[in-house]
This record gives sequence, C-alpha cells and structure tokens, in this order.
Amino acid sequence: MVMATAAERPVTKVEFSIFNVLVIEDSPFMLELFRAVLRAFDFGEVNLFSNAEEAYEYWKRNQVDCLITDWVMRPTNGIEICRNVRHQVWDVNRKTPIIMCSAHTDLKHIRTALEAGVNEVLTKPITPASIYEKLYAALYVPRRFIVSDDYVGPEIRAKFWKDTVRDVEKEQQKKARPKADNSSNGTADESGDEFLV
Amino acid sequence: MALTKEEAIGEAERQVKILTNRFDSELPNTMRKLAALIKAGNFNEASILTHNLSGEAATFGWDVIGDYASRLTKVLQEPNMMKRKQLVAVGLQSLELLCQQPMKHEAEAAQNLLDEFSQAISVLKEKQGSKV
Repeated sequence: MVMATAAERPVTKVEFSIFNVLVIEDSPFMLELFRAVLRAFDFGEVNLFSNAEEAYEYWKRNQVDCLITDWVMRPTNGIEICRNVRHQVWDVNRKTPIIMCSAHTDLKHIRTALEAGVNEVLTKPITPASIYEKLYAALYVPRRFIVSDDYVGPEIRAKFWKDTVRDVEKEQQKKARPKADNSSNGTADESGDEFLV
Repeated sequence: MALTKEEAIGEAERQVKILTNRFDSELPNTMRKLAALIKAGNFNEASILTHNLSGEAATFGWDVIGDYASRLTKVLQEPNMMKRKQLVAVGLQSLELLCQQPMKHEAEAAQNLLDEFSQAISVLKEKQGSKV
C-alpha cells in the first residue's frame, strides 16, 4: 500500500459558523482577544459578557453550543458557574461543552475543573492555536454525558487525563530553568540591582 | 465558511497582533492606574487589576510582567496589613521599572529579575516574622 505524503493528503476544513459561543471573561483585553479570535474562526454567533450574572440571564433564554469562561472572577467564579450549570436538571444548556480558562497549570487545579464538569481547560497564556484546539475538541469530538450521584459532566477519558498530565509536565519542563544558567552568565547581578531596592 | 486550521489560526494571529500593539500602548496607563489604586489603599480593586494584568501580559508576550503581576496579586491579598504594604511597595516599584524596560520576550533576563523579586519577598517576610 502506498501512503500519501502530507502534501497529497486532503486538507480538512472545519465549519465553526454553525455554532454560537458564549464567553464570560472579566478582563477587557482578554474579552477583546476572544472576540477577535472567534470572529477570525468564523463562528456564527459570539456573545461576550464581563460578568457571570448577565451571562446567566442570556444563558437561560438561549441555546448555547459552547461556553468559554474564565476561572477567577468576582463575585461568581468559573467553577461555580460550571457546577451550577451541570446540576440544573431543567437547563437546556446543561450538556453544553464548557472550556475553562485558567492561569493555574498544576494538576490539582485541572482536576478540580474536570470534577466540576468542565470539558476542556485552556491554560494561559492563550494563543489562537490553543483556543482552536480546545474548541475543536469541545465541538467536534463528542463525549458521553455522565449523570451520577457524585459527578455530572462529560466523560473523563483515561486518554484525556493522560494527555493533560503530559501537557502539564511539558509546560512545567519549559518553565523550569537550571539555576546554573543564572550564575554562569552573570546577568542576575547586572540587571537585578537596578530594579530592586 | 469552512476554514482549514492554518487559515483560521493565521487570520486570528493577525487580529491578535493588532490587539497586542494596543495592549503595549496602554500598559503605561494601566501601571499609573495600579499605582493610584495602591496609593489610595484600594487593595481590592488593585488585586483585580493585577489579576487581569497577569493573564493579559502573558498572553500578549510580556511573560515577566505576567509573572510579576501574578505575584503582586497574591501579595495584595496578604492578610497582615503591615506586611502587605511593604511587599506591595517593593512589588509595584519592580513592576513599574519592568514596564519601562524593553523586556518583551526576554525570558532569561526577565527570569533573573523575577528571582530577585522572590528573594526580596522572602527577606521581607523573614524580617516581619522575626519582629512578631
């Protein structure tokens, strides 16, 4: 059998224009970023809110295909939003995929998000590529919806968890820098004293 | 309209670049606002601002400012008021200086500054602890 090369393989086109997305983000610049990126991805409808209360009013009255929410917000945070949504039996959007944005990249926080019923965790810094990956997974890779006594949300697959652990470890390795580098190039003393009294 | 992954991301990156320029030009103003809030003792509002700044700065290429702002957010929530004021003064001064430097994408030099800030926090915390 002859395998097709990358150049010969058909290019897959993805249709996002059939979906509508709701974004809750209290940071004005991040809200702008989502507006710009989601429009560039050609989403059918993009609704942006800077607080959970206004967003929930919209949520109750409309069918939403995907929710993107920040984790740390006041007065209602993203985890509370997710738990509320998943536990509202009569909510038409109960099974809507939820993408949680978070600056917390440690496994403990990611586990908390998944246990709250989040589909995908989008870690900061956010890039168009990372948003695309999460939206594609949320909208085009369907997962069974589980309702049990102690968990309501999308099925958490072993592979998904393994991939998450791998991504977190990769990110941590990227961030970790050997201390020896600092001492060898001497820049710590040169630049540091200037800034800190 | 269906798009390939490359088309979609390419267009989005062009849009993000425009936003990045806007973020860069507004950064001095954000810093002035933060300094004013801290000066007025409005730590609650200041911590919302630094929290937002930490996510935004990291996303728009200012990794070091993102890290600093994130640490400053924690310091702004320090329960001991005296400790908080001292730590915030150090953190704010460093952050202001960082914003004036051409540190964007300079991960190594930035990391060194971040280490210095962490050390300053530790020293201050130790000093405070020994007084109690």
